[in-house]
Amino acid sequence: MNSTLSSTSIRFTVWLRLNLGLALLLILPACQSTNRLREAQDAFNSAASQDNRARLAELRLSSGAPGLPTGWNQSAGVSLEQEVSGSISARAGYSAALLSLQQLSSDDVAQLKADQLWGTALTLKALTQWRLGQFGPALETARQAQTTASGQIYPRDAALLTALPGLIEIDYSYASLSAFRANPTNAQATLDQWRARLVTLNSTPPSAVDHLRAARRQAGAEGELAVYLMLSELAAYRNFNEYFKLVNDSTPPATDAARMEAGYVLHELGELLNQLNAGPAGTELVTTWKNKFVLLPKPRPVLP
Amino acid sequence: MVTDSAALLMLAIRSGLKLSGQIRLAYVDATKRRELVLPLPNFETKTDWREARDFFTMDGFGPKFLEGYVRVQTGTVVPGNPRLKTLVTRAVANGLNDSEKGELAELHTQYACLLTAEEQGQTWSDGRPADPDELSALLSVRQWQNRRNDPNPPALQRIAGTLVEIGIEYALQTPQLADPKSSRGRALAGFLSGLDQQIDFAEGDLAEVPARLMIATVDSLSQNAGLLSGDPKVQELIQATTRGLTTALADQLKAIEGSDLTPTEKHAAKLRAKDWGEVIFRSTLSTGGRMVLSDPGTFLGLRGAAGQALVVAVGNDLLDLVLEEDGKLSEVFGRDGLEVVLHSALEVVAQQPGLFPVKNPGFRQLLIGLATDLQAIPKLVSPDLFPEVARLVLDRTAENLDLFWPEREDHPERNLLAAAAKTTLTLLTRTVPGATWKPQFRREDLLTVVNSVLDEFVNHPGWLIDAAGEVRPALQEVLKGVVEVLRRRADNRLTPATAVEVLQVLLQSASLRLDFLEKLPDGTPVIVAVTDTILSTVFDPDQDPAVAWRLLGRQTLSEVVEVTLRVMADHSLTPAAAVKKLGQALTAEIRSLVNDDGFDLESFATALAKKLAA
Repeated sequence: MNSTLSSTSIRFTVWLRLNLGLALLLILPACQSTNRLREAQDAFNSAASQDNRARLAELRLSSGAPGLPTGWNQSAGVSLEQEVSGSISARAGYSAALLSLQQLSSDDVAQLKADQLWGTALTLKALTQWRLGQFGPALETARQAQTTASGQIYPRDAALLTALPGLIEIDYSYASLSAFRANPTNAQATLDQWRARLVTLNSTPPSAVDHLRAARRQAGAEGELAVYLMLSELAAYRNFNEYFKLVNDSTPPATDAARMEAGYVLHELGELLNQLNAGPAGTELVTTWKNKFVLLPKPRPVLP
Repeated sequence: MVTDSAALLMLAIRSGLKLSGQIRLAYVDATKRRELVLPLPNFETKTDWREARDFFTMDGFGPKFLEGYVRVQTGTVVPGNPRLKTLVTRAVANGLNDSEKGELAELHTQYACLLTAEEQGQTWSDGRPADPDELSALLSVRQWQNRRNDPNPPALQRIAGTLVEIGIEYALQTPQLADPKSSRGRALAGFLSGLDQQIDFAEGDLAEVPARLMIATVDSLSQNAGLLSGDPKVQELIQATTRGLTTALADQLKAIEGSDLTPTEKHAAKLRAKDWGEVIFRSTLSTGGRMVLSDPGTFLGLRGAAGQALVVAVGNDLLDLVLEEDGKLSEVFGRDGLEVVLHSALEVVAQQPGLFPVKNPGFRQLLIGLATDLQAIPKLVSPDLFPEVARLVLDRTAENLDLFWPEREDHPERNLLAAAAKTTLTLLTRTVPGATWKPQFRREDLLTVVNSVLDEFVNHPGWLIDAAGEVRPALQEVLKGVVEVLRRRADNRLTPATAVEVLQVLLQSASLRLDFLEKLPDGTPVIVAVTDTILSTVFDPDQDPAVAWRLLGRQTLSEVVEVTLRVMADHSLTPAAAVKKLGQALTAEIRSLVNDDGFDLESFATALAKKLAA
């Protein structure tokens, strides 16, 4: 260091650079565990984005209709081929996320616990396992999170862990559809079972919608998390609707409890999206769901 | 000897370690907060002829496409679709073949899209559907939905706070940054030293506090040239004030954070705490600094750590005062009022610093008690009397601490002068049944009387305080009696200002002779009876108006009272006899006024003396 620097300000600048540079050098090794977790989050987010894009684009898959506005004649969604490749790509992303989390060393785990990030890591692992169809391990990881990291589970993650059994149930019902289509034995019993497992309120054991409602109560009836949970409820109804069609050769009647409840949820979703200033994207989501799945949004009746 | 370069390197290493810690913590916090894109569960998105049948037959959906309709957006008539109508009819009858089922399903997808576009109100020529990425963005979810519930400090606060600490350490270690030979440099060094100790700025809510206090220090230096005297004690004062008040403020902010208030209420409470903390800081600096210059002897009484700690303790007391009690007392004070009280409190302390415990100087309890007492007085004209009354009480208390504030350690709320002030104001503002005189005392009038009462305590405590140190009932009896006389005898020709003068005279004269406090057979103190006699003569309804006009002059009336009491004090008479002779003397003098012989005070005094001697 040149001790003949004459200006105090120059010395200060040099000093500042010194200690900032040193600071950055010092933090790198100390952040390894956090970096691994962030890598897993990045991979998961990328996969989930692809997942959601494909799913939401399917809502508007259209080859054109008479008199459609110009922009609407060109589907902004994906073709079947794109849907498959998107699904494969998403799966690869979830696998990468899970791999990052499974490669955490004992030192990494200790550091994550010390930094109060262990609950975040376990929640992400459970979600990843769910999306990869590893339902049993996902539930086990969720249980582990709730027992070993209970002080480190933050609001969103806590709600997701509550919702997870419901999300798994919805995926399981979807995965079982093709088998049921191929061989609809014990059709009515199967339908009754899926009604109870998916959409019946206050069911024992709790239905998918019960789990999602419990999570909504945790998260508060506001924010993006509530949007996600309400859409997941509608997804549960969609799958139930499929089983109903296969058994009864029609959609559930307008007076069906599950169909009515789905209508209330769709209306509430629209209200929430308005409150969140979701704009045209929000209203289009509700309108599309309404018209594609023929589900009329209705305000929930107020009890006297 | 460590070279400058080596010292700089070592400082950089220390600072780097400190900063790296905070940067890493900020990184960890950001990871906790990171948004997660939540994947929707798998659900069936494909629809078939059954949904199509519902769509084209149910109200609220697409029946209009069968027969045709008028498009609202453009006003054009859209014809029906006969093929669609045929398919729907067959679907209702469950008569579709597989190919037709597929066709109907496809039509549903198209018309659902169309209906969605219409219901979205798209501009028909160039309307576009929402991008899937926009829809996907709805599912990117934060960890804390409401940021106010996020307990982790924002990254900027973590790092900014650390940079402030590092900057302080640098400024202390690198003299060239602030010339220590200059008085300004010394004063600033004092401020920085105060900040450098104990208080952790990186955590908690103090992110903006150092900047505000720094500005307050510079402002105070600018406005109080005396703070730049270069006296090392000024620097110590600034250092102690900075350290003490910032610590107290940090405690206040922590208490708010741990309270049951809602996030919005917490935010407002913290803002109030920071605002008042800055006010107290400025006031303490400027008041403390003025004391150094205006009264070096006083300041010398604060020599040493205990003295400086007392200055800070008093400031902390007042900070607690304005922030507690749900902030109600802060409404009574105002910035100027606070300065007044703070100055008086410091004066008290400066007189006998050894008599005040640093942990609890007692001012907060005293002032809370006084404020509560004043607020309980009905019809007290100006609630903003409080700072001035507090000042008067504190100023006089300093005259004789042990007499007026004997229990300041165990019961600081018990102060004889505060009790006297409350009594005085209560009596002056009470209403008297059947009163003919109902004045509205102005703020100045009330303060004048309070001041006179307190003066009496200081100058002639004998008639007001007994041997046990308790306030005698005499004060209340005299004041109450005189006020009742005024209200009963006087009318609106008596101005409040004149009444105040009369009261002052009476209070000053009461100590002339103990007999004045003796009671007549009907229980009236002599001094009150004297006042009654004078006023009943002056305000006699049958009195000649010209006479009354002469006697009701402000100076004249109070002089008559004063002379009367002075003369009576020199004569040994039973009280009843003295009052009777007073009445006779007055009547005679007034007769001479009526006869236009004029009213002469000396003649009156001579005549009265003669009467009393007879």
